[in-house]
Amino acid sequence: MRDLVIWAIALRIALQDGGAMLVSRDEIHSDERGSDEATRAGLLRAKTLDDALDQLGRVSPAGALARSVLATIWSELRAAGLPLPDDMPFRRFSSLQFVADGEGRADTRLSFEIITAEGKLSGGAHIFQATPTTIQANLTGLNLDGRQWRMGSLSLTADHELPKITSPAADRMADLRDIIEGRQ
Amino acid sequence: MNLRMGSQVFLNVQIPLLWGERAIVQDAHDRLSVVDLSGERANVEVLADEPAPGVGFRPRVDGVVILQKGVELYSYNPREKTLSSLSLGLPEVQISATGTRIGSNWFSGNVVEGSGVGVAVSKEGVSLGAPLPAGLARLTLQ
Repeated sequence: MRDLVIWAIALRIALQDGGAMLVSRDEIHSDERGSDEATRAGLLRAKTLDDALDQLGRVSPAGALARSVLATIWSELRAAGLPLPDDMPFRRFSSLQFVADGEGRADTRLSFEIITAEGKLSGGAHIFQATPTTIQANLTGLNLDGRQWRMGSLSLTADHELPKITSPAADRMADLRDIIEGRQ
Repeated sequence: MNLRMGSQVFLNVQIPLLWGERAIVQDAHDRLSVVDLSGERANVEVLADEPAPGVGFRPRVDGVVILQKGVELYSYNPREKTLSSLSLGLPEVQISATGTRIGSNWFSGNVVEGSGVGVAVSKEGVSLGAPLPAGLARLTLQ
């Protein structure tokens, strides 16, 4: 009952004020059944605050991190022949997953879709720190305007260091071990 | 272990707070760690308020989402010290200086001594002072 009250109030606010956004994971609020009603009222719907940021044209923390990872190798990707624009797009990433290594560097997996001068370039990428000074990027499923781009994959290395997304783990792990083993 | 956490005092317990199959431990700096005990060995997922090395995650406005094979398991908000299930089917847990909130239940000022688990949270409910469930990995770090 409460979810229906929230839905009715959200629609009323959107109609009164010419638009509104409801951030909710509730199925009643987010599934397709309410889509037409929401559109008519000018109600935008987002399941998470990150979705809401995307809909507002802002960059989510995950998108910003993906962008900072790609920025480290953008020039190398262009030099390898990918028809990428000069400037990196803000919002063309999906299926983002990060894994920190022991030093906190961002091992990154993502899918991308980028509008280029030659058409829409899409694919997946795995970018990680191969050595302390070398980044490895493996791109797969590369398609340009729906057709496979060259061999469909690209691997390259670049002499850079990925951004750090956590603090180094050693001290934190030692603290946790002390607690678990009763030394703290 | 002996630990003060979320205003509860745990004395001689093996796991102070068990959230499903995950042990939750708070350190002296109030940082939370989450250790998955569902496998053969304990696997740290959140280490002192940050994602542990080797664990998949996605940052978001209020913290991080912990992932397993691309599936969103739960989110952790380090500012609010709140763990929220996304696919585990468990009630939300929040640890604060004045108490521990589990779903809509509030625990404050309890002392649990000599139990396998201090506070056990499952899909079915919450137990204060519970035996260690069978089948969990030992809470030790390699």
